[in-house]
Amino acid sequence: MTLIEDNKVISQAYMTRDKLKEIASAIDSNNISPEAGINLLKRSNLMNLLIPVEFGGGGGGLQLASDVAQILASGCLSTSMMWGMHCQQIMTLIENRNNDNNHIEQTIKNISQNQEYIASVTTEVEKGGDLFSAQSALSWISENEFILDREGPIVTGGNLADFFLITVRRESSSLKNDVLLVLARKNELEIRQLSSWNPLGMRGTNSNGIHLYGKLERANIVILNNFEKITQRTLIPVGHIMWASSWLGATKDIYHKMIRIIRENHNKRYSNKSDYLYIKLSQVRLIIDTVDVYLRNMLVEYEDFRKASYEYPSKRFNININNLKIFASEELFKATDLLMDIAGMNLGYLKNEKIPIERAFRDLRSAKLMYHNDRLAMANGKLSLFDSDLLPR
Amino acid sequence: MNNEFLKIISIFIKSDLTQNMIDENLRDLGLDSLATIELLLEIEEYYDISFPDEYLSEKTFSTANQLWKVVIQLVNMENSLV
Ligand SMILES: Cc1cc2nc3c(=O)[nH]c(=O)nc-3n(C[C@H](O)[C@H](O)[C@H](O)COP(=O)(O)OP(=O)(O)OC[C@H]3O[C@@H](n4cnc5c(N)ncnc54)[C@H](O)[C@@H]3O)c2cc1C
Repeated sequence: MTLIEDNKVISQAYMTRDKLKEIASAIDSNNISPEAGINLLKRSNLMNLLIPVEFGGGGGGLQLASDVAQILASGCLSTSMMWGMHCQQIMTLIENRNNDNNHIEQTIKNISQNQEYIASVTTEVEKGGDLFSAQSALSWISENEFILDREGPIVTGGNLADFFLITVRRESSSLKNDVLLVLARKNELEIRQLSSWNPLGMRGTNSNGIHLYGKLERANIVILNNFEKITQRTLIPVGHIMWASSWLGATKDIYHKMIRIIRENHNKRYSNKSDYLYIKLSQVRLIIDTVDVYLRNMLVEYEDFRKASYEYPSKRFNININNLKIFASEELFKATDLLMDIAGMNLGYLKNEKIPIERAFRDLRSAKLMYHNDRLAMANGKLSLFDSDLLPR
Repeated sequence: MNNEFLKIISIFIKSDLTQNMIDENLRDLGLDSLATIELLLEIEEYYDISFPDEYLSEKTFSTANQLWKVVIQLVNMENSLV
């Protein structure tokens, strides 16, 4: 993509953001389906941004997608998260498709043409968020056909999805880390809602529990071997980058709004601009800047890895990308807390027209739990044993 | 390669490792990255050795054979120091 095309996407993202702003509060308050938000993204041609031009997509890169996620999140974090995860699914399909599987290529072209949305089904009740294992197994009825019977306790935008990308165990006798990734179109499945979504925050994601059932074919399987490679090469890095981008965008928005409010001269509440106020603001700024720099650094490192065409990223990259998620989720939540201290009761704790701090606070509380930070910390502790000589060489 | 060594690796992969599998890629046999680290700790404890940083590479853990060569080398170094 050229710089001019990138700029066009950015302006498009801002226009979409402005419309998202108008609906975000109602979606959050009434816990309604985010259909309006997703339709806005579809109409803005953002659903195929990361699909290469030869498949009819926008041909954008991950840096651009990260910027777009930040902008969208400044209007509605839930919609931005849905879009970010959709980008993660798109990249996973593009980068890991098996060249002999025309079905997947054709599907990517259709997704691109119709601006369709892919939901992700990785969590299971028994194993929680662990990406490297699966409980539900495929039941093979012939060499080529199988039955998929899978519960997804939390599926973001499950009721709106055109496609589902699902992790399952190869067959019931397989080890739990013998995971396959299955892509299924909505009309290939019987979909039953299992639970409704009534959370503290991220209410606009409508992440209901669903049950998926269908007779599918071998061609629905994205890749037959080596699921860990997909997770390390694409699912985890892109997921963490897009999540961190969205959280960062939402935090930047309330920071900017807070400062505008403080600077309104008629706003007496903040007119005694105290040292305390400046110190808190600087703490928020420090968090935003640190996450921003770390995010940009990881985008560069990830691009370097992809150019180098190694099979697996290094242990150091694994640690760094996990740290991006851990750091962004913990620190940006702290930033919303600090902003609430600054804003106080009326413009902070209470829902109001001027600044959605309480929504950002509730939304960002989920960040640590989405792919639990404890799980990542455990992995990073172990990985450190392999990579501890950090001095320059 | 001794059978104890094969048994230790077998804890972390899909099937029991036999002598004719020692040149197969351990990742393909189901050794994921975190399992690699657990395997490392297990081997270090069992053979009372410690892998220097420069041995902690993809190559060392690529096959059972490759890993065994490194273990033998480290065990010998350890013995010559005593
Ligand atoms: C807004 C939102 C949207 C989501 N969307 C989707 C979606 O679209 N699709 C989907 O599949 N999932 C989705 N999820 C689920 C998410 O990805 C995680 O799977 C889920 O939040 C983690 O579930 P859990 O806490 O039950 O399980 P776990 O991650 O298993 O954690 C449970 C507890 O076990 C502990 N724990 C578990 N493993 C370890 C470990 N190895 N080391 C140390 N402690 C450990 C943790 O400390 C935690 O207290 C979403 C979640 C949120 C909040």
